[in-house]
Amino acid sequence: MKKNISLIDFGAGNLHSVHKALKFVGANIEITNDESRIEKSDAVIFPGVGAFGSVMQSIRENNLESIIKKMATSGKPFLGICVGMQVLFESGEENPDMPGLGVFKGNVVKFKKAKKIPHIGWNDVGVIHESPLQKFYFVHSYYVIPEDKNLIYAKSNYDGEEFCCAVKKDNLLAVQFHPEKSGDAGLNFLSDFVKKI
Amino acid sequence: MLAKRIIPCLDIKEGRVVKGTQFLNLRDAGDPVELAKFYNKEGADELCFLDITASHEKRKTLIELVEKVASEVFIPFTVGGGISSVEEMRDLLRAGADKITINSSAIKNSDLISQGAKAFGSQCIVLAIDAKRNLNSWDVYVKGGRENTGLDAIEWVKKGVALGAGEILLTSMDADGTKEGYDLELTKRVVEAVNVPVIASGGAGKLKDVVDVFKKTNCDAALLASLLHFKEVSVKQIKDEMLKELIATR
Repeated sequence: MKKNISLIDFGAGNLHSVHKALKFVGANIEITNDESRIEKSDAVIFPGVGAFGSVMQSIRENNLESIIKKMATSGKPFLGICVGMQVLFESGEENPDMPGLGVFKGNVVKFKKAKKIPHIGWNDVGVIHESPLQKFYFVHSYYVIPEDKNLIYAKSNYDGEEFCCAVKKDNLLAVQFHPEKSGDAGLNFLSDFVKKI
Repeated sequence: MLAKRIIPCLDIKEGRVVKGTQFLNLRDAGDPVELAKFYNKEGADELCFLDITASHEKRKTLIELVEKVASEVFIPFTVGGGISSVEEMRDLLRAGADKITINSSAIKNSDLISQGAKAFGSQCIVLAIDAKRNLNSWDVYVKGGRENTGLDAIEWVKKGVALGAGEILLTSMDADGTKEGYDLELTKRVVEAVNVPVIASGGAGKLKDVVDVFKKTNCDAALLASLLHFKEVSVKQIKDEMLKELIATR
Protein backbone atom coordinates (compact mmCIF):
# COMPACT_ATOMS: atom_id res chain seq x y z
CA MET A 1 0.00 0.00 0.00
CA LYS A 2 1.13 3.49 -0.78
CA LYS A 3 2.38 5.47 2.19
CA ASN A 4 0.37 8.45 3.33
CA ILE A 5 1.93 11.89 3.34
CA SER A 6 0.42 14.91 5.08
CA LEU A 7 1.15 18.28 3.58
CA ILE A 8 0.61 20.66 6.46
CA ASP A 9 -1.76 23.47 5.54
CA PHE A 10 -1.50 26.76 7.37
CA GLY A 11 -1.94 28.83 4.22
CA ALA A 12 1.66 28.73 3.00
CA GLY A 13 2.16 30.38 -0.37
CA ASN A 14 3.93 27.40 -1.92
CA LEU A 15 1.46 24.79 -0.65
CA HIS A 16 -0.07 24.03 -4.03
CA SER A 17 3.22 23.98 -5.91
CA VAL A 18 4.58 21.46 -3.42
CA HIS A 19 1.38 19.43 -3.71
CA LYS A 20 1.54 19.38 -7.51
CA ALA A 21 5.18 18.35 -7.57
CA LEU A 22 4.58 15.48 -5.14
CA LYS A 23 1.55 14.32 -7.11
CA PHE A 24 3.73 14.41 -10.20
CA VAL A 25 6.27 12.03 -8.62
CA GLY A 26 3.42 9.69 -7.66
CA ALA A 27 3.08 10.42 -3.94
CA ASN A 28 -0.09 9.76 -2.01
CA ILE A 29 -0.34 13.18 -0.46
CA GLU A 30 -3.10 15.03 1.33
CA ILE A 31 -3.29 18.74 2.15
CA THR A 32 -4.49 18.96 5.74
CA ASN A 33 -4.53 20.96 8.96
CA ASP A 34 -6.28 18.19 10.91
CA GLU A 35 -4.15 17.16 13.86
CA SER A 36 -5.26 13.54 13.99
CA ARG A 37 -4.81 13.02 10.25
CA ILE A 38 -1.35 14.52 10.41
CA GLU A 39 -0.46 12.30 13.34
CA LYS A 40 -1.66 9.13 11.58
CA SER A 41 0.23 9.82 8.36
CA ASP A 42 3.45 8.03 7.48
CA ALA A 43 5.34 11.19 6.63
CA VAL A 44 4.97 14.94 6.82
CA ILE A 45 5.87 17.77 4.51
CA PHE A 46 6.04 21.22 6.02
CA PRO A 47 6.23 24.01 3.43
CA GLY A 48 6.52 27.73 4.00
CA VAL A 49 7.31 31.01 2.31
CA GLY A 50 7.17 34.61 3.46
CA ALA A 51 8.33 36.17 6.69
CA PHE A 52 9.39 34.08 9.70
CA GLY A 53 6.96 35.96 11.96
CA SER A 54 3.93 35.68 9.70
CA VAL A 55 4.54 31.95 9.17
CA MET A 56 4.75 31.41 12.94
CA GLN A 57 1.62 33.48 13.41
CA SER A 58 -0.34 31.37 10.89
CA ILE A 59 0.92 28.18 12.51
CA ARG A 60 -0.28 29.38 15.91
CA GLU A 61 -3.62 30.66 14.53
CA ASN A 62 -4.18 27.21 13.04
CA ASN A 63 -3.21 25.51 16.31
CA LEU A 64 -0.56 23.51 14.54
CA GLU A 65 2.44 24.29 16.73
CA SER A 66 2.38 21.21 18.92
CA ILE A 67 1.60 18.70 16.16
CA ILE A 68 4.39 20.05 13.95
CA LYS A 69 6.86 19.80 16.82
CA LYS A 70 5.61 16.32 17.62
CA MET A 71 5.96 15.10 14.05
CA ALA A 72 9.38 16.73 13.65
CA THR A 73 10.67 14.70 16.58
CA SER A 74 8.58 11.57 16.01
CA GLY A 75 11.12 9.69 13.96
CA LYS A 76 8.74 9.59 10.98
CA PRO A 77 10.04 11.07 7.73
CA PHE A 78 9.65 14.84 7.84
CA LEU A 79 10.55 17.35 5.16
CA GLY A 80 10.71 21.08 5.88
CA ILE A 81 10.95 23.49 2.94
CA CYS A 82 12.22 27.09 2.95
CA VAL A 83 10.59 28.96 5.86
CA GLY A 84 9.35 25.51 6.90
CA MET A 85 13.02 24.86 7.63
CA GLN A 86 13.70 28.21 9.28
CA VAL A 87 10.89 28.08 11.84
CA LEU A 88 12.17 24.75 13.19
CA PHE A 89 14.80 26.90 14.90
CA GLU A 90 14.49 29.05 17.99
CA SER A 91 14.27 32.55 16.62
CA GLY A 92 14.60 34.65 13.53
CA GLU A 93 16.37 37.96 13.07
CA GLU A 94 13.47 38.96 10.81
CA ASN A 95 10.95 38.93 13.69
CA PRO A 96 12.84 38.68 16.99
CA ASP A 97 9.65 38.98 19.05
CA MET A 98 8.09 35.92 17.47
CA PRO A 99 9.75 32.71 18.71
CA GLY A 100 10.13 29.78 16.33
CA LEU A 101 9.21 26.17 17.00
CA GLY A 102 12.55 25.54 18.69
CA VAL A 103 12.95 21.95 17.50
CA PHE A 104 16.61 22.85 16.99
CA LYS A 105 18.83 25.33 18.77
CA GLY A 106 20.03 28.16 16.60
CA ASN A 107 19.04 31.35 14.83
CA VAL A 108 17.90 32.51 11.44
CA VAL A 109 19.94 35.43 10.12
CA LYS A 110 19.98 37.72 7.10
CA PHE A 111 22.70 37.62 4.41
CA LYS A 112 25.38 40.08 5.37
CA LYS A 113 27.82 40.22 2.46
CA ALA A 114 25.46 39.93 -0.47
CA LYS A 115 24.93 42.99 -2.63
CA LYS A 116 21.55 41.81 -3.85
CA ILE A 117 18.88 40.46 -1.56
CA PRO A 118 16.84 38.25 -1.82
CA HIS A 119 19.04 35.41 -3.04
CA ILE A 120 16.98 34.40 -6.07
CA GLY A 121 17.92 31.69 -8.51
CA TRP A 122 19.71 28.41 -9.07
CA ASN A 123 22.67 27.77 -6.82
CA ASP A 124 24.93 24.86 -5.99
CA VAL A 125 23.97 22.58 -3.15
CA GLY A 126 26.92 20.71 -1.75
CA VAL A 127 25.93 17.77 0.42
CA ILE A 128 28.56 17.25 3.12
CA HIS A 129 30.96 14.41 2.25
CA GLU A 130 29.23 13.88 -1.05
CA SER A 131 29.85 15.10 -4.55
CA PRO A 132 29.00 16.34 -7.13
CA LEU A 133 27.23 19.65 -6.66
CA GLN A 134 23.73 20.03 -7.95
CA LYS A 135 21.84 23.24 -8.60
CA PHE A 136 18.53 23.92 -6.86
CA TYR A 137 16.24 26.93 -6.90
CA PHE A 138 16.45 29.36 -3.97
CA VAL A 139 14.35 32.38 -2.98
CA HIS A 140 15.22 33.77 0.44
CA SER A 141 16.94 36.52 2.39
CA TYR A 142 17.58 34.62 5.63
CA TYR A 143 19.30 31.35 6.50
CA VAL A 144 19.71 29.13 9.56
CA ILE A 145 22.78 28.85 11.76
CA PRO A 146 22.33 25.63 13.74
CA GLU A 147 24.09 25.54 17.10
CA ASP A 148 24.81 21.85 16.61
CA LYS A 149 27.02 21.80 13.52
CA ASN A 150 26.37 18.09 13.10
CA LEU A 151 22.90 18.98 11.88
CA ILE A 152 24.33 20.63 8.77
CA TYR A 153 23.63 18.34 5.86
CA ALA A 154 24.37 20.63 2.92
CA LYS A 155 25.87 24.03 2.27
CA SER A 156 25.64 26.63 -0.41
CA ASN A 157 27.41 29.89 -1.11
CA TYR A 158 25.82 33.16 -2.14
CA ASP A 159 28.02 36.07 -3.13
CA GLY A 160 30.89 34.86 -0.94
CA GLU A 161 28.74 33.99 2.05
CA GLU A 162 28.62 30.29 2.87
CA PHE A 163 25.41 29.13 4.49
CA CYS A 164 23.66 26.00 5.67
CA CYS A 165 21.00 25.05 3.11
CA ALA A 166 19.93 21.70 4.55
CA VAL A 167 19.77 20.12 8.00
CA LYS A 168 19.25 16.46 8.75
CA LYS A 169 18.56 14.57 11.91
CA ASP A 170 17.42 10.97 11.81
CA ASN A 171 14.41 11.01 9.48
CA LEU A 172 14.01 14.76 9.50
CA LEU A 173 15.31 16.68 6.53
CA ALA A 174 14.82 20.40 6.07
CA VAL A 175 15.98 22.42 3.11
CA GLN A 176 16.25 26.11 2.30
CA PHE A 177 15.83 25.62 -1.44
CA HIS A 178 12.60 24.79 -3.26
CA PRO A 179 12.67 21.20 -4.56
CA GLU A 180 9.16 21.78 -5.97
CA LYS A 181 10.61 24.44 -8.29
CA SER A 182 14.00 22.89 -9.02
CA GLY A 183 13.14 21.07 -12.23
CA ASP A 184 14.41 17.50 -12.60
CA ALA A 185 16.86 17.84 -9.70
CA GLY A 186 13.97 18.81 -7.44
CA LEU A 187 11.63 16.10 -8.69
CA ASN A 188 14.36 13.49 -8.11
CA PHE A 189 14.91 14.85 -4.62
CA LEU A 190 11.18 14.60 -3.81
CA SER A 191 10.91 11.19 -5.38
CA ASP A 192 13.82 9.97 -3.20
CA PHE A 193 12.07 11.33 -0.12
CA VAL A 194 8.87 9.50 -1.05
CA LYS A 195 10.69 6.23 -1.79
CA LYS A 196 12.39 6.20 1.61
CA ILE A 197 9.13 6.47 3.57
CA MET B 1 27.88 29.97 -7.90
CA LEU B 2 24.51 31.51 -8.47
CA ALA B 3 23.64 30.86 -12.09
CA LYS B 4 22.73 33.63 -14.50
CA ARG B 5 19.21 32.80 -15.59
CA ILE B 6 17.78 32.30 -19.05
CA ILE B 7 14.08 33.12 -19.09
CA PRO B 8 11.93 32.44 -22.13
CA CYS B 9 9.11 34.93 -22.19
CA LEU B 10 5.78 33.90 -23.57
CA ASP B 11 3.55 36.79 -24.56
CA ILE B 12 0.01 35.53 -24.21
CA LYS B 13 -3.03 36.67 -26.10
CA GLU B 14 -6.28 34.76 -25.73
CA GLY B 15 -4.42 31.75 -24.44
CA ARG B 16 -1.88 31.63 -27.26
CA VAL B 17 1.75 32.71 -27.41
CA VAL B 18 2.46 35.70 -29.60
CA LYS B 19 5.44 37.95 -30.15
CA GLY B 20 5.45 41.11 -32.18
CA THR B 21 8.19 43.34 -33.43
CA GLN B 22 8.22 46.30 -31.05
CA PHE B 23 4.84 45.10 -29.80
CA LEU B 24 3.09 45.53 -33.16
CA ASN B 25 2.36 42.90 -35.83
CA LEU B 26 1.54 39.98 -33.58
CA ARG B 27 2.43 36.52 -34.83
CA ASP B 28 1.16 33.23 -33.44
CA ALA B 29 4.03 31.17 -32.11
CA GLY B 30 2.36 28.31 -30.33
CA ASP B 31 0.62 26.75 -27.37
CA PRO B 32 1.86 28.07 -24.00
CA VAL B 33 1.75 24.82 -22.04
CA GLU B 34 3.55 22.89 -24.76
CA LEU B 35 6.12 25.64 -25.05
CA ALA B 36 6.58 25.72 -21.26
CA LYS B 37 7.27 21.98 -21.22
CA PHE B 38 9.59 22.30 -24.17
CA TYR B 39 11.64 25.08 -22.54
CA ASN B 40 11.77 23.24 -19.25
CA LYS B 41 13.25 20.21 -21.04
CA GLU B 42 15.69 22.43 -22.85
CA GLY B 43 17.03 23.77 -19.56
CA ALA B 44 15.27 27.13 -19.17
CA ASP B 45 15.79 28.40 -15.62
CA GLU B 46 12.47 30.13 -15.32
CA LEU B 47 9.49 31.12 -17.44
CA CYS B 48 7.62 34.35 -17.85
CA PHE B 49 4.06 34.75 -19.09
CA LEU B 50 2.92 38.22 -20.04
CA ASP B 51 -0.72 38.65 -20.96
CA ILE B 52 -0.35 41.51 -23.39
CA THR B 53 -4.06 41.85 -23.98
CA ALA B 54 -4.76 42.43 -20.31
CA SER B 55 -4.86 46.21 -20.48
CA HIS B 56 -7.62 46.19 -23.05
CA GLU B 57 -9.55 42.94 -22.70
CA LYS B 58 -10.64 40.85 -19.79
CA ARG B 59 -9.33 37.34 -19.34
CA LYS B 60 -9.60 34.59 -16.79
CA THR B 61 -8.04 32.06 -19.14
CA LEU B 62 -4.76 33.21 -17.60
CA ILE B 63 -5.59 31.52 -14.29
CA GLU B 64 -6.44 28.28 -16.08
CA LEU B 65 -3.21 28.53 -18.00
CA VAL B 66 -1.21 29.08 -14.79
CA GLU B 67 -2.84 26.03 -13.23
CA LYS B 68 -2.03 23.88 -16.24
CA VAL B 69 1.57 25.01 -16.38
CA ALA B 70 2.05 24.55 -12.63
CA SER B 71 0.82 20.95 -12.83
CA GLU B 72 3.27 19.98 -15.51
CA VAL B 73 6.31 22.22 -15.25
CA PHE B 74 8.36 22.42 -12.07
CA ILE B 75 10.50 25.49 -12.51
CA PRO B 76 9.66 28.98 -11.28
CA PHE B 77 7.42 31.13 -13.38
CA THR B 78 6.26 34.70 -13.39
CA VAL B 79 2.94 36.00 -14.60
CA GLY B 80 1.97 39.51 -15.53
CA GLY B 81 -0.21 41.75 -17.64
CA GLY B 82 -2.76 44.17 -16.31
CA ILE B 83 -2.72 42.87 -12.74
CA SER B 84 -3.99 45.72 -10.61
CA SER B 85 -5.04 44.29 -7.23
CA VAL B 86 -3.70 42.15 -4.42
CA GLU B 87 -6.69 39.85 -4.98
CA GLU B 88 -5.65 39.14 -8.58
CA MET B 89 -2.11 38.51 -7.39
CA ARG B 90 -3.38 36.05 -4.80
CA ASP B 91 -5.47 34.17 -7.40
CA LEU B 92 -2.51 33.77 -9.72
CA LEU B 93 -0.06 32.81 -6.95
CA ARG B 94 -2.58 30.28 -5.62
CA ALA B 95 -2.97 28.84 -9.09
CA GLY B 96 0.76 28.13 -9.02
CA ALA B 97 2.62 31.23 -10.21
CA ASP B 98 5.75 32.09 -8.24
CA LYS B 99 5.97 35.77 -8.99
CA ILE B 100 3.79 38.53 -10.33
CA THR B 101 5.02 41.30 -12.57
CA ILE B 102 3.29 44.62 -12.43
CA ASN B 103 3.92 47.46 -14.81
CA SER B 104 1.41 50.22 -15.62
CA SER B 105 -0.81 49.37 -12.64
CA ALA B 106 2.15 50.11 -10.33
CA ILE B 107 2.57 53.48 -12.03
CA LYS B 108 -1.09 54.31 -11.53
CA ASN B 109 -1.00 53.10 -7.94
CA SER B 110 2.45 52.61 -6.42
CA ASP B 111 0.88 51.29 -3.20
CA LEU B 112 0.20 48.11 -5.13
CA ILE B 113 3.93 47.31 -4.88
CA SER B 114 4.02 47.67 -1.10
CA GLN B 115 0.68 45.91 -0.62
CA GLY B 116 1.82 42.97 -2.75
CA ALA B 117 5.20 42.80 -1.01
CA LYS B 118 3.54 42.90 2.38
CA ALA B 119 1.03 40.18 1.51
CA PHE B 120 3.33 37.76 -0.32
CA GLY B 121 6.90 38.94 0.25
CA SER B 122 9.16 41.04 -1.98
CA GLN B 123 10.34 37.92 -3.78
CA CYS B 124 6.88 37.63 -5.37
CA ILE B 125 6.75 41.16 -6.72
CA VAL B 126 8.58 41.90 -9.96
CA LEU B 127 8.43 45.48 -11.15
CA ALA B 128 8.41 45.52 -14.93
CA ILE B 129 9.30 48.70 -16.73
CA ASP B 130 9.43 49.67 -20.41
CA ALA B 131 12.09 52.33 -20.84
CA LYS B 132 12.89 54.47 -23.84
CA ARG B 133 15.80 56.85 -24.26
CA ASN B 134 15.15 60.56 -24.07
CA LEU B 135 18.47 62.37 -24.70
CA ASN B 136 20.66 61.43 -21.73
CA SER B 137 18.10 59.57 -19.66
CA TRP B 138 15.27 57.09 -20.09
CA ASP B 139 11.55 57.65 -19.77
CA VAL B 140 9.09 55.04 -18.57
CA TYR B 141 6.47 54.07 -21.14
CA VAL B 142 3.17 52.23 -20.69
CA LYS B 143 0.51 50.66 -22.90
CA GLY B 144 2.98 48.61 -24.90
CA GLY B 145 5.16 51.63 -25.59
CA ARG B 146 2.40 53.91 -26.80
CA GLU B 147 2.36 56.32 -23.88
CA ASN B 148 5.18 58.21 -22.18
CA THR B 149 4.54 58.58 -18.46
CA GLY B 150 7.22 61.23 -18.10
CA LEU B 151 8.74 59.23 -15.23
CA ASP B 152 12.51 58.85 -15.18
CA ALA B 153 13.34 55.12 -15.43
CA ILE B 154 16.17 55.17 -12.88
CA GLU B 155 14.15 57.13 -10.34
CA TRP B 156 11.16 54.87 -10.85
CA VAL B 157 13.04 51.58 -10.29
CA LYS B 158 14.65 53.03 -7.16
CA LYS B 159 11.25 54.01 -5.84
CA GLY B 160 9.80 50.62 -6.77
CA VAL B 161 12.51 48.77 -4.86
CA ALA B 162 12.09 51.07 -1.87
CA LEU B 163 8.39 50.18 -1.90
CA GLY B 164 9.16 46.47 -1.88
CA ALA B 165 9.75 45.20 -5.42
CA GLY B 166 12.06 42.18 -5.20
CA GLU B 167 13.18 42.12 -8.81
CA ILE B 168 13.21 44.40 -11.87
CA LEU B 169 12.18 43.26 -15.33
CA LEU B 170 13.71 45.87 -17.57
CA THR B 171 12.63 46.16 -21.19
CA SER B 172 14.33 48.58 -23.52
CA MET B 173 11.78 49.93 -25.95
CA ASP B 174 14.63 51.10 -28.17
CA ALA B 175 16.17 47.63 -28.41
CA ASP B 176 13.02 45.50 -28.32
CA GLY B 177 12.37 43.80 -31.62
CA THR B 178 15.52 45.14 -33.27
CA LYS B 179 17.55 41.92 -32.74
CA GLU B 180 20.62 44.10 -32.37
CA GLY B 181 21.37 43.19 -28.78
CA TYR B 182 20.27 44.24 -25.31
CA ASP B 183 20.49 47.88 -24.30
CA LEU B 184 23.72 47.53 -22.32
CA GLU B 185 23.92 51.11 -21.12
CA LEU B 186 20.38 51.18 -19.76
CA THR B 187 20.80 47.74 -18.16
CA LYS B 188 24.04 48.81 -16.50
CA ARG B 189 22.47 51.95 -15.11
CA VAL B 190 19.50 50.10 -13.64
CA VAL B 191 21.69 47.34 -12.14
CA GLU B 192 23.81 50.01 -10.45
CA ALA B 193 20.74 51.86 -9.16
CA VAL B 194 19.12 48.98 -7.25
CA ASN B 195 20.10 46.17 -4.87
CA VAL B 196 17.70 43.56 -6.24
CA PRO B 197 18.13 41.23 -9.23
CA VAL B 198 17.59 42.73 -12.69
CA ILE B 199 16.25 40.83 -15.70
CA ALA B 200 17.34 42.33 -19.02
CA SER B 201 14.82 42.25 -21.84
CA GLY B 202 14.51 43.38 -25.42
CA GLY B 203 16.83 43.14 -28.39
CA ALA B 204 18.41 39.69 -28.29
CA GLY B 205 19.09 38.61 -31.88
CA LYS B 206 21.96 36.14 -31.55
CA LEU B 207 23.96 34.09 -29.03
CA LYS B 208 26.55 36.79 -28.56
CA ASP B 209 23.91 39.30 -27.41
CA VAL B 210 23.09 37.11 -24.42
CA VAL B 211 26.76 36.59 -23.57
CA ASP B 212 27.33 40.34 -23.87
CA VAL B 213 24.56 41.34 -21.50
CA PHE B 214 26.04 39.06 -18.83
CA LYS B 215 29.65 40.02 -19.49
CA LYS B 216 29.12 43.75 -19.81
CA THR B 217 26.48 44.34 -17.17
CA ASN B 218 25.89 42.70 -13.82
CA CYS B 219 22.32 41.73 -14.61
CA ASP B 220 21.03 38.45 -13.23
CA ALA B 221 18.88 37.10 -15.99
CA ALA B 222 18.13 37.52 -19.66
CA LEU B 223 14.63 37.39 -21.04
CA LEU B 224 14.21 35.96 -24.52
CA ALA B 225 11.21 35.56 -26.78
CA SER B 226 11.15 35.40 -30.57
CA LEU B 227 14.77 34.28 -30.83
CA LEU B 228 13.74 31.11 -28.98
CA HIS B 229 10.16 30.78 -30.17
CA PHE B 230 11.17 30.68 -33.80
CA LYS B 231 13.99 28.25 -33.00
CA GLU B 232 16.71 30.54 -34.30
CA VAL B 233 18.66 29.70 -31.16
CA SER B 234 18.04 27.10 -28.45
CA VAL B 235 18.36 27.44 -24.67
CA LYS B 236 20.93 24.64 -24.85
CA GLN B 237 23.03 26.60 -27.37
CA ILE B 238 22.89 29.69 -25.17
CA LYS B 239 23.98 27.70 -22.13
CA ASP B 240 26.83 26.02 -24.00
CA GLU B 241 28.01 29.44 -25.11
CA MET B 242 27.75 30.80 -21.56
CA LEU B 243 29.79 27.86 -20.29
CA LYS B 244 32.47 28.56 -22.88
CA GLU B 245 32.55 32.19 -21.80
CA LEU B 246 32.80 31.18 -18.11
CA ILE B 247 29.44 32.68 -17.19
CA ALA B 248 27.83 30.84 -14.27
CA THR B 249 25.05 28.69 -15.64
CA ARG B 250 22.95 25.71 -14.70
